[in-house]
Amino acid sequence: MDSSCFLLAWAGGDHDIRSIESAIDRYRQWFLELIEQSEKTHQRLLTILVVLPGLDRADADPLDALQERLKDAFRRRRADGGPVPPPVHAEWPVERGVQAAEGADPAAGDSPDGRLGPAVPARLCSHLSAYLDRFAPDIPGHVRRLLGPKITAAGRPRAGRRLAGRGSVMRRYRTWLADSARWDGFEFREGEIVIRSVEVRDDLDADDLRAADLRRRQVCLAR
Amino acid sequence: MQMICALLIFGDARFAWPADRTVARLDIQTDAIVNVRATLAAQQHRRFIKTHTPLDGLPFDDRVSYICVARDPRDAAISSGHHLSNMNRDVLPGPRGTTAGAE
Repeated sequence: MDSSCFLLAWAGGDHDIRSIESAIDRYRQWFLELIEQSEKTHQRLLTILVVLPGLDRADADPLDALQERLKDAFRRRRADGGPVPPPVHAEWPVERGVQAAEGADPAAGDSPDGRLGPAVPARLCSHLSAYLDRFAPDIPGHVRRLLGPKITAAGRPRAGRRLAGRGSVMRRYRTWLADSARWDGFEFREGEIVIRSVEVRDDLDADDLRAADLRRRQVCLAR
Repeated sequence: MQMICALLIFGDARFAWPADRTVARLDIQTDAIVNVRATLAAQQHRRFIKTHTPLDGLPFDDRVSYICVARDPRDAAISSGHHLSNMNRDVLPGPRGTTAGAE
């Protein structure tokens, strides 16, 4: 906000899906114009929050479909103003021998650390898939019903089956701060506990640390 | 979550180890892995280990309980902000560089 990078737009009126598309497209065009004028350091922060009052939220499916289509179209226009994430962040995740960047073509508005935006569905899918592979028989039915469609919708129809989790290849993850290879050869004892927290971003890098003040402003926006 | 685990395991709010040694984080590169493992090896209680590695990057063991804490992104953002505020950002790159460079 201090950098005038956060803009709130009120798009009043009775909107349907078609008029929303038109309205959003106008704001996206404005976004492209603004980002051209922005300082490079501010480009990643530029945000336009469009408020659509009175929108019927009873059925979110058409809106989700519209969002999916518009975001893909917008991403093709390469509005991010440069490579995001930077190479160091593209190491998350690192799967040896496999292309690391699952979200190789992120759009403006994605997190500069590459852990939000288009990369999330693939990673979330991978994570959920592993969860189901290993624990499906023990997952409560209502949770399985929630997770299953997310997996199958992404072309990973393995929900509900327990595969050989112990024999499967572990993926590698590395960030500036953490390296999953440090788990190699670790010997557990009976009854131990591993705590994994899934957050918006749970790793830090040197740039993030230097930009901590900016981060805090982003946090305020999220509040 | 780590505090819940600690309280359940120890049955006491007074821990024998400093907080940063009670809950080990294997994958964080601020201390040499040999030191982290030595700390873990010395622990005789039911060990609990924090990690930032997604489930499909962790070794799987039937004897182990894996707790995945999924947080509302809004809460995580606030928590991250507090975490950054409490962090000595001038100091962190030092041990990380020493550790990651050596490994």
